[in-house]
Amino acid sequence: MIVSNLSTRDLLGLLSGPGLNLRTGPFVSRISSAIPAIGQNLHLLYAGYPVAAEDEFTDFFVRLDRPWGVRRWVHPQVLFRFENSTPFKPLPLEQAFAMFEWGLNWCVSGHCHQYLVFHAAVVEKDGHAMILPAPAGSGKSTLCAGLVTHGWRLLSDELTLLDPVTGALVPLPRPVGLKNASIDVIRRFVPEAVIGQLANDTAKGTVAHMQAPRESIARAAETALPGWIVYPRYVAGAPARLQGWPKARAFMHMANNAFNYSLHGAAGFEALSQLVNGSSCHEFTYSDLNDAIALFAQFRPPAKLTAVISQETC
Amino acid sequence: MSDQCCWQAVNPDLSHLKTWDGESVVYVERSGQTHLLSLFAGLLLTQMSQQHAPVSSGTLGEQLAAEMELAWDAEFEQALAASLDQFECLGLIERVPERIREITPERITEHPPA
Repeated sequence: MIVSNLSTRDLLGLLSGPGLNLRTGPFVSRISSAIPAIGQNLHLLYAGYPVAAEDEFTDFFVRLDRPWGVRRWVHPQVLFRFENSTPFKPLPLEQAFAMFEWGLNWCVSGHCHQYLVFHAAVVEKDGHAMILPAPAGSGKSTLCAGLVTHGWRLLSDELTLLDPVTGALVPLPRPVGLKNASIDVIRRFVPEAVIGQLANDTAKGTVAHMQAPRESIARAAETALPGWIVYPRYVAGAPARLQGWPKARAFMHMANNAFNYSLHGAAGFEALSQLVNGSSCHEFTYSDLNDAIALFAQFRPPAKLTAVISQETC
Repeated sequence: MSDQCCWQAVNPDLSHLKTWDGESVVYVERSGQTHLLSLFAGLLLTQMSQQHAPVSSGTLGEQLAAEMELAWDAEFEQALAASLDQFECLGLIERVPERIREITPERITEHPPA
């Protein structure tokens, strides 16, 4: 069963009752909330996601509540609860869904140490992943949203999961977080994109989430091999330009963008070395999404794979 | 830096050193930290790991200058001293006390115990 099989009423009933067992990539989260905006946004943006069975292992128990006291009525707020803790300060109620998304990211980045977890978007084409590690404001999510609506598969717009044992990139396709000007950029660029409610005045400005492509959700169990590591930077007026990025520097950048690199010790070093070794590394500046997409459309799988395919074909 | 000062790699196994296009990254087990190394530093560390016994900075410098085809001048000597000091701070190499330095495999062979 997927979320869209549930009527809005049934979904809200689950959320305010036993909880919704939502499967996203390799994780199952049990989500509870009586806040209508949570149910509405889940129904809109998570329509195609599987609902896990009641008896399946649950990775995260998450609850979004309105706190009691005066804040229930005056400038109402929302609290994110993870199991029995409240790891964050409350936010204004209208930011409830954004808080849900950020909280779920925190659940993964802070607890799933079976993976090396990087703060980076990751997309896939022809079985190979392109990792986009970049700080906030670099245009990473805008580029990611543009790519996944033009031939690339979304693995994640925020968290890159590397399996240190197999070296594979593990998909966690969830709605793509858009901020400020990028919301209208994507609305114009992909008029058919489904974008949820705006959350204004957050710490990151105005935030909205774009529904992940249906195919990306359906293929959430398909891992990808390393392909490219691209450090994107939006520079107003700049032409799309790709240049080599020394691998040792790409390694250090990825390590610094990881949530749990130090926790993995030598095994983490080896896993990241393999990832960098198997990837073509580039720095990328752009200002026009069309130019960027045209440039990345020319990317072909790394030479090693091409050689293997040729041998098999012959 | 004294020419007589001898050094040895803390971990001569270079499995935690990766080099791409001249630059290297090295993982240090003791600290759990990873460092970016220049071409010069990467080659120096590789040289050190290939030594079978503690080696003086003078010998290291000679080998490195030959490999990189660099002149042994003040700039080179400064870079060598700075790199060795930094490696020591990072826990990659250690100074070898005189009394230990004297008992190297070569010397044991030269003067086998009675």
